[in-house]
Amino acid sequence: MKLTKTIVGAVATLLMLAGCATPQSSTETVTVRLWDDNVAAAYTKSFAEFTNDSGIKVKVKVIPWSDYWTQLRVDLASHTADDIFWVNAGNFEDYAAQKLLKPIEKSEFDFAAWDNSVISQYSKDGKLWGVPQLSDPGIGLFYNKDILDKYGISLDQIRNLTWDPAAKTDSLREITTKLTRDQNGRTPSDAGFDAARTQVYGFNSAFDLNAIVLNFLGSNGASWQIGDQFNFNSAKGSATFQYLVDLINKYRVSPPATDTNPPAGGDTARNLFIQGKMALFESGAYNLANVQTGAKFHWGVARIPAGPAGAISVTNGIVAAANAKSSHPEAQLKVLKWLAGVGAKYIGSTGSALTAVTSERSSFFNFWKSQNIDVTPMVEVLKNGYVQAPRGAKYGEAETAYLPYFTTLFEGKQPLTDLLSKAESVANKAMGN
Amino acid sequence: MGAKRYLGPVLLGFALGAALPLAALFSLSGFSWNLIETPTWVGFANFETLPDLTNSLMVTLWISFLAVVTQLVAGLTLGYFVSNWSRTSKSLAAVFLLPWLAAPIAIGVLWQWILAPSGGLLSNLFGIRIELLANPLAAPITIALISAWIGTGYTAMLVASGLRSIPRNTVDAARIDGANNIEILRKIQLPQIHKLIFFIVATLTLQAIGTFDLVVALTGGGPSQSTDMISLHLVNTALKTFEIGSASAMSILLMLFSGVLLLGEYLLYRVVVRKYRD
Amino acid sequence: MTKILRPLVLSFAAVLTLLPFTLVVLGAASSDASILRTDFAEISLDNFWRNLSRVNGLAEALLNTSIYCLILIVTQLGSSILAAYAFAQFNFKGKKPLFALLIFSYLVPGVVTLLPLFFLVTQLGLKGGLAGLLLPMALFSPYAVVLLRQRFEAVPRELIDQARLDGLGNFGILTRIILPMSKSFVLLLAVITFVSNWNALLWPRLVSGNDWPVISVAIASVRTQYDSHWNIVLAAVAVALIPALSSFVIARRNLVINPLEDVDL
Repeated sequence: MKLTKTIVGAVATLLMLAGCATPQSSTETVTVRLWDDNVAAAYTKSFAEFTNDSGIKVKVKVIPWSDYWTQLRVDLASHTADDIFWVNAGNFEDYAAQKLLKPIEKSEFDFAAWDNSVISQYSKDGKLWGVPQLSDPGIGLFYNKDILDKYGISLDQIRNLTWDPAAKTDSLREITTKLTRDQNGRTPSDAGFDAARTQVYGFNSAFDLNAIVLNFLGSNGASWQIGDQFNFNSAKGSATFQYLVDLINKYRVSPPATDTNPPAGGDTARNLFIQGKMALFESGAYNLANVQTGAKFHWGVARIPAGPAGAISVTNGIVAAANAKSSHPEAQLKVLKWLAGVGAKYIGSTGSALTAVTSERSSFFNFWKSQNIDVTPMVEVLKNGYVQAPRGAKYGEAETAYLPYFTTLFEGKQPLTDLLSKAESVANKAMGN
Repeated sequence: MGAKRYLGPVLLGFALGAALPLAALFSLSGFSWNLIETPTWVGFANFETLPDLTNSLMVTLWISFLAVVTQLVAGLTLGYFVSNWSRTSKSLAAVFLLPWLAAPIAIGVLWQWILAPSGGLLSNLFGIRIELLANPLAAPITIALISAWIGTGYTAMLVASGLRSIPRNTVDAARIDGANNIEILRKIQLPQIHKLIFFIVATLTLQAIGTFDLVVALTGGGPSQSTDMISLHLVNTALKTFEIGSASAMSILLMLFSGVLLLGEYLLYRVVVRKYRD
Repeated sequence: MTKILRPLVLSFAAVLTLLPFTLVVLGAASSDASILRTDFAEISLDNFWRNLSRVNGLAEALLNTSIYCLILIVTQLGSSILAAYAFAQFNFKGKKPLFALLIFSYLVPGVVTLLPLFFLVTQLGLKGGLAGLLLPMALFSPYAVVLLRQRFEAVPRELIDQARLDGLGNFGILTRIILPMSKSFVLLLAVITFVSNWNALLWPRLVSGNDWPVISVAIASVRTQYDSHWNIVLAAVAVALIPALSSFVIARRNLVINPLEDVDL
């Protein structure tokens, strides 16, 4: 029995000890991990130049988003994580608190070179926890020009859409209704409209936090979180959600929630838009490249619809965090400095992302100018102010907790108020508030 | 003795593949641990979260029940008709085994295409939305049926081989006595393969409880957690919300759950056998 | 009655079984346009190759998975044959409890052991490669041990006694008498080992992920990458299915064994 106890204890200890496994990289290679294929391609080009200059080799690893956070935590726990890795706002605080990340020192880096919103997003306890890499422009309204022309909607109308949950109708509802057609060409306001046979949707209302929910909340004077605390169950928040749900289930201008609910439905709206089955698609710069490659119609980007509080968008940043237990700290620092400065110029060159290094942003705008797409509405909208992006050390747990309530809520079959208040309380509970 | 040498490899394998992880589970279940902080001892607290598992347990029971019953009935039927072992039956035997040989992820992706709400095979063919995987009532049934589609062929082959091992004389004698096919089936064939039937039910039950790849490929646990089978729930608890202690406790409960289920089926089997004998 | 029912049931079952696979082939050979309309209007071998070429890393995944499965067949069967022989031939202390333990470990649901093993493999720094994939399961296949033991026990005692008189030792008896008589079983187990590891998803996805992808991981990636381009996804699925499905050619009806044949419940 005593032997058994010892074995059991030893086994448990073996698993629990932050046992340092020997890192596998050679002394001259710094490893960088991220989830975005497009930016990874840009990094590879960027590091080719860096290796030429410095002689330090850099290996870029892409881990798919669906596995990214699991692999990162497991690797950090066993000290086999890469030297540099991307983190987003909802996922860095835990690691910073456990001293698994190195703070970015003002003495080594020029903070003025970076977008302020990213700096504040990733600051906690007075320290910055990663080198800003991406800084999303605001969200924009992609439009399918061919569909607009077909139904006689002008660009002017699209560029100045408004919405108001308190009003009987608004231009967003009216125009998207005109743009939604079933296979017989009827709109939802026509008798005999067959929602099950919708050929073209007018809009992409869905439970998509980044593309839809946060912006509509902000544009209605409501919010999702203040700091860590969830507070979307306010009067204005409730009205916003009801409006979004109505767009799907009452006005039927958006696909059914069962199609668009996360996690599986995240790309459904984008695919519909690219296939020419959606007239207006509210989304971010992260989809510019995808639309460019896939769309076989004329398209453009307009300002997002303005709510009672104006057109307010979310902006989000990504940082490259430094592994506190890297085995080549000097090389790691050099790579970080490269990413923080000159190396950033590669990021915008394929138009897929906007760098957080403000001086190197021209490549992004130049690229889209060369494609004849005007992306300024995405940047202009941020001048109105911006919505705080999701954050909190336990954001992952909170998301797991609130998600089932929201997926049900958007299906529109149960009363909203109850679901919304339950969602807020389980989310705050999971967050530890 | 020489035996030790021969047993060596499998003992090592057992230690690594079973003893070690199980021991770890038992010790980890008493802690609260999220991988990056030091574990804190919580005693039995992780086991008190059993009510949270109610949904997963219900879902698992429901889907397993449907899958096992469907496969059993379909397998018995098909196996019966194949057991004459004619040339047709022999060549079809290989065909029926195909779904069982295919990877669950491949089958899952295939059926995702067939059942896609729009843009998939059936929705394009009939021009309507297919809600089978998106509807909380239909989704578990769909998964159970696809699961049954995978395993029925194998079950049928088991049944066929079992039926064929019944001595010809027994069946012939009964036929001479004037029994028709249905009576032969009920009074001779089924009773002769009762052990096999129990084995099938037990194996299918274990398989159904452990279903993971297929659910991940088809629904990921939704909609509204109507297909959140316990193995999936467990993996998510460990790898998405990083509640290692809780997941370890859940694993132990899962083992108990399947043990109880198997025991129940065994007791039921003994009762049925005894009743039949009388 | 049976005369009418049999052909009906058999043909219905055959169609139900083959139809989805046929659809895979048809879908895999479709062009981008025709898969969106699902009218199967543009089916060609050319399309199939074109779809396949847009899948990255498929060849690598096929190679990796083949290596992984082949190694496991050798190690698992090797260790199982030795152990089954020990159970069948010798009497030793703890034989019954040990065998019971093996059966018990077979009954444990996969995810239960896979999770702690995943953390262990990571702690040892073996994540991301073949070694980590193989380590916990290389020597462990309780199903094979149980099956082989039964088969070995069925070898007539006289043959073994005769062989011993002829001067064969334990190992010789295993290799010259018992194994040759169990060829079809061993082959069958090899096929089962191959198929079940070829099809595995959770373990390889966790341990070797995209660093050393196996075929099921590749399929999952293609699915996310080519969300509505079903023709490409199905082409990858078709290729992934071929090795497993063709293994039935080798084993045919031997694939089905009833392990409880001589067991008293």
